[in-house]
Amino acid sequence: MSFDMANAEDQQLNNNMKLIKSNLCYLLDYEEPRAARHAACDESSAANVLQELNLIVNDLTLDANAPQFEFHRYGCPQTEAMQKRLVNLSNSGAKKKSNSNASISAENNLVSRHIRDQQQKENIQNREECGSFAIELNGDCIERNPVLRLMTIFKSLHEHLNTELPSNQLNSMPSDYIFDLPKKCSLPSGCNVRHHAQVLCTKLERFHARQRRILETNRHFDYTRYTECDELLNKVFNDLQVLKAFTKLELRQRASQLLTKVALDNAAQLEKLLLELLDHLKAAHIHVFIFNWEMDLEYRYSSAMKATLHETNKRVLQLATVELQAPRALDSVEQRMVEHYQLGNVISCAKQHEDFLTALLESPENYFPPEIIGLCDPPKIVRNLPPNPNLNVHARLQPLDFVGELPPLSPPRVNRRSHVPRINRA
Amino acid sequence: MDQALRNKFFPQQILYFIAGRRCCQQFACTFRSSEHNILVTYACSLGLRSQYVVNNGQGCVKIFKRSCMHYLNEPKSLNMCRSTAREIFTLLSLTSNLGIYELSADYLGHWKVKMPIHHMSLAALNPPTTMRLRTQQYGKYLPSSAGYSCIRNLLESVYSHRVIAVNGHLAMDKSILFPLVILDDAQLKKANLFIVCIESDNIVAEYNSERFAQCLDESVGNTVGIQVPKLCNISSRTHIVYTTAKYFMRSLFGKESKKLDQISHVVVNDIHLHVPYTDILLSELKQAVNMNQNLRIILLSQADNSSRFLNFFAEGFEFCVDRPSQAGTRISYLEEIQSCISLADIRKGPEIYKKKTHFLNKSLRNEQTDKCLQAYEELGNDSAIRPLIYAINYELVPVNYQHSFTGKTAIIIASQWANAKHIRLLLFMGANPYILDNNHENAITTAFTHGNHECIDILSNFGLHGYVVKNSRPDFVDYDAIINIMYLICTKPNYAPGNILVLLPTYNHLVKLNYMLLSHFLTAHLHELAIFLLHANMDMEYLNDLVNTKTDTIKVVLATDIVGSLPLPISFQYLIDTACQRKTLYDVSCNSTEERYEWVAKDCLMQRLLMLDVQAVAERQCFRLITRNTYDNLDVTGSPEMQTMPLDKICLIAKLLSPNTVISEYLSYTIAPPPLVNIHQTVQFLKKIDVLDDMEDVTWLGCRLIDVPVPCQFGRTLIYGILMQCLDPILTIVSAMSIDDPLSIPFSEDIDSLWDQYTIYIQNRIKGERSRLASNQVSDHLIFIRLFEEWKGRLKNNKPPLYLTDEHEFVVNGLMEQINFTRISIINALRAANLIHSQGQLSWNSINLMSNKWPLVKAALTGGLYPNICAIDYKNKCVNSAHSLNLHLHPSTVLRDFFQPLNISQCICTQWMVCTKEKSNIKYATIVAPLALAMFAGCNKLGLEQITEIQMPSNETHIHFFIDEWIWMEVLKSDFELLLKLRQLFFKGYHYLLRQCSESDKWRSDCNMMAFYSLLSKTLSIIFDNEDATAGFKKCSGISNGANLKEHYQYLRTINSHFIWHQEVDDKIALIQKGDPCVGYNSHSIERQFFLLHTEDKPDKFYQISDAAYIENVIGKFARPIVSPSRHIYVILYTKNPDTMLSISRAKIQKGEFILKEYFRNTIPVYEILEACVNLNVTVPNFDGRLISSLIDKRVGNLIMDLFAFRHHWIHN
Amino acid sequence: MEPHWTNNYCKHHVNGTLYVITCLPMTAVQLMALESGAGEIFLTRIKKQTTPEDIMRVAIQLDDVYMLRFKIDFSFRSRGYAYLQYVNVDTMERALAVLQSLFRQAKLKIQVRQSNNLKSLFLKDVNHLNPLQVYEELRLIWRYDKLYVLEYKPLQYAYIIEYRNNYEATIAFNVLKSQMGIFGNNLFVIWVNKDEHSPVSHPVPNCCAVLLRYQLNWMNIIQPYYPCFMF
Repeated sequence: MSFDMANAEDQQLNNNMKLIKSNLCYLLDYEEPRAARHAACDESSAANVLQELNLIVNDLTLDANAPQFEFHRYGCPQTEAMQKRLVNLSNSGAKKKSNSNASISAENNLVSRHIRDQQQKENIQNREECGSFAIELNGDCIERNPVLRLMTIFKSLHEHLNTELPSNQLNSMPSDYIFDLPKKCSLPSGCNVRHHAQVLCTKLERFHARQRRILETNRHFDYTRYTECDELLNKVFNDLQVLKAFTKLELRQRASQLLTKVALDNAAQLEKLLLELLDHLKAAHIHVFIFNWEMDLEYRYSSAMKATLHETNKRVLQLATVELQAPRALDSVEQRMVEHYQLGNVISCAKQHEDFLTALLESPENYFPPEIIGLCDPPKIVRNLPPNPNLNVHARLQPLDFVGELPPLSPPRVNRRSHVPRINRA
Repeated sequence: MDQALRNKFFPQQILYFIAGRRCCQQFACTFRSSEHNILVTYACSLGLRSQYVVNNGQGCVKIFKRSCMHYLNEPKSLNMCRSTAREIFTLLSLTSNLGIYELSADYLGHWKVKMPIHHMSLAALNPPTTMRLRTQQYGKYLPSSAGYSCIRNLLESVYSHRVIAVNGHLAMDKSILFPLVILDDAQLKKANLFIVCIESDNIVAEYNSERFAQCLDESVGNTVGIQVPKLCNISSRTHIVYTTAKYFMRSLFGKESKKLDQISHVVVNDIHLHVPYTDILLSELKQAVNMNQNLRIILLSQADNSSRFLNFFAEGFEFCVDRPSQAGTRISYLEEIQSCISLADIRKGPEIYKKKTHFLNKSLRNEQTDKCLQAYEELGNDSAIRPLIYAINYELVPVNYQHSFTGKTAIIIASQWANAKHIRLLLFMGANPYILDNNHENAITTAFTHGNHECIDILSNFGLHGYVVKNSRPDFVDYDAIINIMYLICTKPNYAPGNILVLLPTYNHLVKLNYMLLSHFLTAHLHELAIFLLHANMDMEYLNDLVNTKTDTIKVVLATDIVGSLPLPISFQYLIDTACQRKTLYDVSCNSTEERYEWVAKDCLMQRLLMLDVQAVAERQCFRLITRNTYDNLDVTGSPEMQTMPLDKICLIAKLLSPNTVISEYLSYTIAPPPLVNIHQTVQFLKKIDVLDDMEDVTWLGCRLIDVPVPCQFGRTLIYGILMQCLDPILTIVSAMSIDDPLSIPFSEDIDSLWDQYTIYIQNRIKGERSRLASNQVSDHLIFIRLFEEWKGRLKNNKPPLYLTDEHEFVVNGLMEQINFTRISIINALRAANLIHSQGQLSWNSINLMSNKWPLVKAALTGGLYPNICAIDYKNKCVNSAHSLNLHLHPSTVLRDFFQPLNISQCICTQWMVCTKEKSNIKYATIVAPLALAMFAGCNKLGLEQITEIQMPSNETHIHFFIDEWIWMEVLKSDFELLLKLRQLFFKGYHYLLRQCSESDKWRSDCNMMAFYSLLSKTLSIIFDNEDATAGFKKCSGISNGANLKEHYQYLRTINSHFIWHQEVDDKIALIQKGDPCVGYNSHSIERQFFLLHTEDKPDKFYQISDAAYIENVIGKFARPIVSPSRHIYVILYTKNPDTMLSISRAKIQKGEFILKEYFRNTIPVYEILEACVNLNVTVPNFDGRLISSLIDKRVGNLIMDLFAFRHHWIHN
Repeated sequence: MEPHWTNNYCKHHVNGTLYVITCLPMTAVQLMALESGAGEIFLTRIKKQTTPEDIMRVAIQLDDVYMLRFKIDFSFRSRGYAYLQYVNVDTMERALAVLQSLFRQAKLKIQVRQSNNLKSLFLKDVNHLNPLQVYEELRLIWRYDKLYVLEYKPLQYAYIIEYRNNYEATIAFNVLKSQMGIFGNNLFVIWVNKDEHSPVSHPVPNCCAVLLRYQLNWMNIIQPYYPCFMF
């Protein structure tokens, strides 16, 4: 039995168990003469217990409802009669206890035995069918399961269909949003490949139509660009037509394993198609988008809009130069503090909070409540203030003629509370 | 086209980005690698940083501004050691045979989540049958109640309106009165009746149901039932059920429309508190009223304006009961209190520790602060003061720190430089201009010598304001002021004796004040009163104790807000109101919570005032620890909690109540809708931690967590604890984090005036203690476990000792009582959620098999606390995280020292930590192995698509692994495959647990899945052991294997009754028997005699072996003749070698025998006593120890007693 | 519930147990016997979805039921076992014979056994309390009928506590296990079968003095020496 969990309750109980067992065995084995047994009676604490009873008898509320009490001293026949049973009892208890204990504390043993058995079985099996190892570890991080591969492609296709290409609306969000905006999720659950294909077809059709519409609105601006995009969209459309066929082909699977040879072949075909589709989709999407964006900029923007855009761009370029600057270095004073006073650590800590500290120094008004700010202004109504033993002293000090006068005789009670706009305050 | 992309589109996008407010941006995955290159090059030319990332399986480019902290320069490497790989390989091959390793629905798709239904077993709606006799109680209740006169009106309005709102004060006892009236009437009319009474808190529901049953002369479970999480007692005869909004709503889940069909009346108590769950329940009720014509809703409030609620229901009737007049109540504000105290000449004990003693040794921190001051003195400009301001603001240095040699404070130096700006700032920050330096100059005199008008003006104006204004802040409870008021009430004749109610913001404050009162009581500086505590997380025993005390005992009740909902049968004469409350605020910007103290609103103060008994006591007084001016500026009503609090549980409950509504929409229809951005952020967060899925539906995890009374994040941590079979330590950490930190580093203001000058020393000591407990494991979380274990070890017979040592010990005992209470309630909740079984694989013992494995516990923490992960940048000495705000380590964490940005010994080579933060401060952090992160971080369905090949040809064997939007790692390909399989295996177990935990037959030890389960956690334990060892962690010992402590300790209750209650009864009886005139209140005439008892034993042993006979023998012959009810005998235990005093106890005669009742135990060296004697001009005694016992001078005795009572843990130990 | 029998029974739900109790008037003697667990039947292998009503419907075919204690979990489903008592204690015999088949007819595969009705606990290794303190402390935990103190070694005691019925003994057992602090860290508690200890066989051993309670209350000093005693 492991003793490293000596603290466990059961362990404790178990130890107790052992103790009582040994005690009781000892009692049973110890066949001493009757006389000696009687001597033992004298060792008994019956007298103590009785004495105790005398003391507290008034505190015990012994009404009719009070439980009964029977005391059998050491050596009493009653106790002896009980002992055998106690041993039985403890034994049976021990059996029960150790059973449950075994399942808990010897879990490790069980497990390792289990492992051993398993390993043995494993070894035999491995020797028999060499090479056909159940877990697929190839070391190249490439998915071997065609269904899972398909699923990944489906997922990324959906991902692409859902993406919004960047626009300036996105940038108006504050940067503190940690997480992305809620996104539409249209990927069907489960591994039914045909169903996936079906859903994808519907989505693709809508996507294609949307892109087509955008493209058509720009047709008259630039025909060469239009034909370029048109071609790309047609490619997508062709892929879509092929994909539709797959919704009716054999692609059955169970537990992500394709069932038939036909299904396997079809899946391979489908995979090729989807990868191609992905490329076409990307190209079409980007081209149509950029075409539209450019035409927006050139033809649809008013001159005022163009002017503001130009203006912002100029301003931003200036802003960008800040990004290029290296982080602020230590100024001369700080440098001196680092070198002369060995305050390197403190300075580097303070540097991390430089913005806050500077702001606090420059305009403390922003960081303290008004009643605290008011402390350095003359009090409004002096009379309403509580009696302050130093009031008179200060009143005398106020005129400037008293420069060099003695300090106040007794400072007021120390006010221990500070009003730091503490960052660390809980 | 490419031209357009290159020259126009991307530049424009990047310019937009720079102009915008975001710190980083991810570009659409539609762009291809050639376009990525263009983007990166251009971004780089403008000084932006960029990175190729894989997100959701799609490769894309991200660009960052300079300030963005999401940016991880390079992937942190994940090196699995060989033995780890071997272990994983073994596990995988073993499990493959178990048939477990098969891709299934939980990896790819969703399982239909079925919420475990929970319903109140209600009987059919029927009329109350048995006609009750009007018992005495019952009869007494109705006519005597304040509301009796309006019962008729009330009944009428209940019949004519579906919604009524009742305003009335606490003493009306509305939540019993109204159901009683309705019950009474229904009996007459034989009308169908089932009333549900919603209370704000479990304890209130329990208390009210018991009183109601008493009043019907029944026991709970007949006509009146109760249903709260830990107690349920209802029967088919029950017509009135008390419950809480939270628990009641739990029974509404999964019932579509017929939610409240079985109920005739819903009584909602204390709606004015705007308890979030009650607010949500109100909107459920609003829907129910529309569906069920016969439902009646009675809203009870203590505030005046219920119209707001009626407007919400768009119907109803307002029913007002006049408040009793408060004419005889005197309210004093802080100014008056202070002047009263200063005029009253309160005599407390002598100030023994007045003089600076020698044990203030210098630390590195003193040196550095000295240097800062020195530098400021020499340079004097803004840059020079900045480090100082930093030290005060961020490093807990007291603003009045005096230079070790010159004694100059910052403000003296500012006066020297005549820098008005600095003087003003320092004054704002609480600097005291009256402190004298070693040349006996202070800031004011210095300013005068330098003669700068502006400075002199500022300082003199400052002096003209009273100190009161500077003192009142909601975040400090002025214990000194409360103690002073207690002295006023107890010792001054113009205050009649009466019960005192002290209202404090938190449990922590109760404990601290409890100690202060006890120590003043025991040293007899203050008259002894019976102390009682009331707070939300208590057992009924606390309440019963108070309710069942004899009326003639004078009671001090220390209570939190909860007392405002408990109609107590005690008449209070004095109310000391700290007027502040603690609120948990949700910070949207960094998705963290923050505890903030605020003043309570005016109407709340008014309700508190009404707790003083108008009828019984003629003269009442309320002390408000707030200035008049501040009071005038307070808001009339406070803001509802839901608008500021963290919403995770709220969102979850909203979704479960109404699965087909968007959470933000549901919440926007509640009476106090929280800000949309809070909801949005919370929902995103819940999705991140897998409580909600992408479609915002509740996952299995969410279903299980709803029953666990901790925030979702902590709940998730508990689940990980169960999965990795190390629940016990996780449980301790979670419980401790939901309570105040017993080892937080105090601010100078938090330290009593007595110890003010030792601030730095105390702070250093606590910091030292923290790092001792963390023992090289660089973990703050470990401190909680260690502290709990050490405390458990100190218990005798599983009970804390019943003597006082010092304040810290007491507070720790008090907080541990609370931690233990929380632990037990979490365990119970986990049982209720079927996550702990009584046998099988989920029994307590088997989910704690690995509890002593610290590396595994860390891994469980990582999984549970994700996404609160930070990366350490050793080079720049800072931390990066998914939050763009600057994150900083709080000075209390063991990850850094004071004045050091980061202090982790370089031998630990992992760069990740899991943290708990508050605003932008990392309060608790633990360094974890990268493997833990790779295993548990990120979405639980991560697969092969989250990786990318490294472009550089030299690195063919490695890949980049993108765990989430910012965590990425570089892994060996083969390692990654192993890792991924293990991950899938683990999450398989995770889903299995969450889905199947309610089927206990699936968790028998002989199941196939179980073999896998124990195999998995065993392997995990081995691999994390390995990983920790390779990362350079030392072995961590001393965590026990989760012995289950299930006892409620009730330390405070025990110790208070031990010291005060019995003793007073004894004394009184004795005094009455003797016919002593000084019985009762004014017992200050008690005289005390001190005996010195020499012993060779330790106090423990001494008290164990010294029975009555021994004490009689040693003390009796001296003491017996002199002891009398007005003269107490104290025994001081002392020992030679070394010369120390060990313990002080009171000898009492009980049934003719001397017994010792120990008051204080500590070790006080004799030289300290001698020193104190010299300081206070007391004749120096001679302790020679030749005699076993001797009588000592009373003054010396008192002094020793004071030394015992006012000992400071961090200074004297 | 069907109306024809529900009127005679009252249903209680207290924490983890659903009680269905008869509303019939009963004599004090009858009640006492029933409360101490007379004629208790143990029902096991109850399916999760089985309700107490299902069981009652079958059980009342035999006789009037005194009480059904139906154990439930937190979602109010069966924990797999229940206890059944008839008003007439003798019905038990008949019930043991036929109830199981009756259940089977009602498509409930419930096993019917006689309840062990364990109601005694065995306590040992209480180190820091003397027997009378133990007596008092145990009273604080839950009411019980009798405490046997056996001094099996000088100054070392073993205790057997008899409770009124199994239900109360279970509560006491749980409290004892969870509040070990009261009796010290080494406390050892287990269940005792009724037949494993029955000191009742010879009612009062000759060495034992019987102290009468009413005497105890006013008699201040008990006679100096009794070897064993009971009250």
